[in-house]
Amino acid sequence: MMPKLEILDLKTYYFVGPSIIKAVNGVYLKVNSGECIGIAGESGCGKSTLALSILKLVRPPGFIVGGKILFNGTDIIPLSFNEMQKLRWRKIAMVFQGALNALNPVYTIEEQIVEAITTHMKYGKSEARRKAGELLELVGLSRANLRNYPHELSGGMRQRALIAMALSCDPELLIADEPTTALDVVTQAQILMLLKDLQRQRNLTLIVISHDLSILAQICDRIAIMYAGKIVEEANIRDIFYKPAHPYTYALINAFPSVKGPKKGLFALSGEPPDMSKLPSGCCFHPRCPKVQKICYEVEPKLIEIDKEHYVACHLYT
Amino acid sequence: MRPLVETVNLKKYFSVRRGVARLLKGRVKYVPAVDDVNLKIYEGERVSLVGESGSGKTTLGRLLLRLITLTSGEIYFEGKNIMLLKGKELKEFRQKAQIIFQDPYTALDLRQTIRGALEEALIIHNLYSREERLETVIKALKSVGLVPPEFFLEKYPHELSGGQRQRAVIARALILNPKFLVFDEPLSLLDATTRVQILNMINEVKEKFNLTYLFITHDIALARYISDKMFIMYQGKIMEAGLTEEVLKDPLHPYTKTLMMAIPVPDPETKISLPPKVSGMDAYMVISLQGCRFYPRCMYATQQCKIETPLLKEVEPNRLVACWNIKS
Repeated sequence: MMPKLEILDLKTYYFVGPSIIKAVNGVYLKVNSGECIGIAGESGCGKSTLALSILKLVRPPGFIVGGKILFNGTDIIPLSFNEMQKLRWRKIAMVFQGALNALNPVYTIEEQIVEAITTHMKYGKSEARRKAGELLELVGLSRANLRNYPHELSGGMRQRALIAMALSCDPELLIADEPTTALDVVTQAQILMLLKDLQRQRNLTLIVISHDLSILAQICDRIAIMYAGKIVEEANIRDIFYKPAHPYTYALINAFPSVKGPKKGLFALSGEPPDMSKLPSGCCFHPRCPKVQKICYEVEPKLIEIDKEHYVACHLYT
Repeated sequence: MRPLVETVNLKKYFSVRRGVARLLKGRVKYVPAVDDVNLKIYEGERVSLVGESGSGKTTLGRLLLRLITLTSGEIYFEGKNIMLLKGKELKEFRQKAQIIFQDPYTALDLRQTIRGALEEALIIHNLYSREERLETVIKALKSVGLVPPEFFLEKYPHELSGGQRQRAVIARALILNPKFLVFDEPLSLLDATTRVQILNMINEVKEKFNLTYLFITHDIALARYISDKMFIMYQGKIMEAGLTEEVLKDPLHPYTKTLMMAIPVPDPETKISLPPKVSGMDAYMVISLQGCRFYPRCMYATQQCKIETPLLKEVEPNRLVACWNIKS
């Protein structure tokens, strides 16, 4: 079966003055149809840039400088603006980070959803309005909320409205960038359950980006761990949590406290994430790695399959 | 034993003025950010204060340090009412009680070196001679893991990472040998791996300095790693209080239970589930001063809950709950 999305050696760099920030630096990723994949990593590791690259929304000084993004088998990188515009929202939609700021404060929810629908699809105004009402009900709001301005809604309701807007043109692939940051735990739980339901009901392919592994543990089928612009490990969710292969994955999983079960010690990794304009030699993780070897200083490890559908980029496995 | 910090019927209401016309009519709305809070913190206790945004936890933290004025009630520190302190006594209190803010990016003066920031505290309180001051600064930097300290002395905040800045902020609070600290969400803006580093560092210095603190957080899982006792706060009221491990093992208040169900666990086998009736917080949910604050979201709510406000009562040894449905 052809994957819904396949990313091959993608490179997105920001050219800031004399330095080059390699935010996405050779990413390989395969997303199958109907799957929910999580992308985890710390701030500045390039996960949001990766998401923007998939929609080709990276703004200067950022540019996609290499690689392929195959959507349903077609490379979208050479597509023109107009061709890309046909894919955006109708095929690939995104829920942007920061529910509190992603909506326009001077338009009602209805105006914003209707605008999204009429821009991308051949719908009349009244048809679009009817559809907007249906969408709000789908995400657990009521039709009455159509007339509200964003400031009249709570954080959770705004996030639902954003999800409704992203679904307005029945996309095949939905990217959610930090969909629950800044929400309270109860609201967060509701949004996560909503995303999971939508994925199942509509056979959506879902990419969820988060710095919080406990959130991804709740809804994802597979997880890719990103560090310094690269995917360092990718596997199904059980392998990531129970058989983490990369030392960074291990550290990240054990950095999250749990309220349930016995109280485990938390694992503290030394050092700080690298400066993206001055990446370390060899494996970018070597200055912080507890299992560093000589080869790690010189040679960059490749992403290899160590088990069925379990990929790791680490010299421990070569 | 006398508690180090004690509040008696502490209230802080913020007025929400809605337009001049309403003000003239004399209709001023109030938000009860802290409403009738009675708490005791004893020396050596590490207490966490857990609540969602808008629960009033930050307001309570600031009240305890007299950073804002109160509406009514009393706050005692070492047996003295802090609202009545003046002059020398107030300055002493300012030295003994310190706060660490959430955002290390704004808590430091951008035009002051780390050495300047730490030394300033000593100068204000007139502690040590010039040479001793430098020594004390170096010692404080070492204790929070900013090593080698000489490397950080002359650095400006923008030259440090988020984690290092938060360490510097903590060093600045510790340098005065405070008796009581308020941590106001000091880890929520840090990355996962940095967060664990700072968390472990706090756990180390708390033994070394024999700290007593109130740790404000929205993350109940984090509270487990930083406190022995916890208070659960909801819309200005303490809903449940007890030993951290006991509350987490057996939450009694419906709100605590809801929180525990909603919190995601870093384990794919343990999925979140929510009780059927629970709804999220509504931005315009009217806070009713009558009855239990959690009433509109509670699945066990009865008629009594709507009318009468439950008081925080001891239902088991070391466990306080404010709920009509829980009998001791």
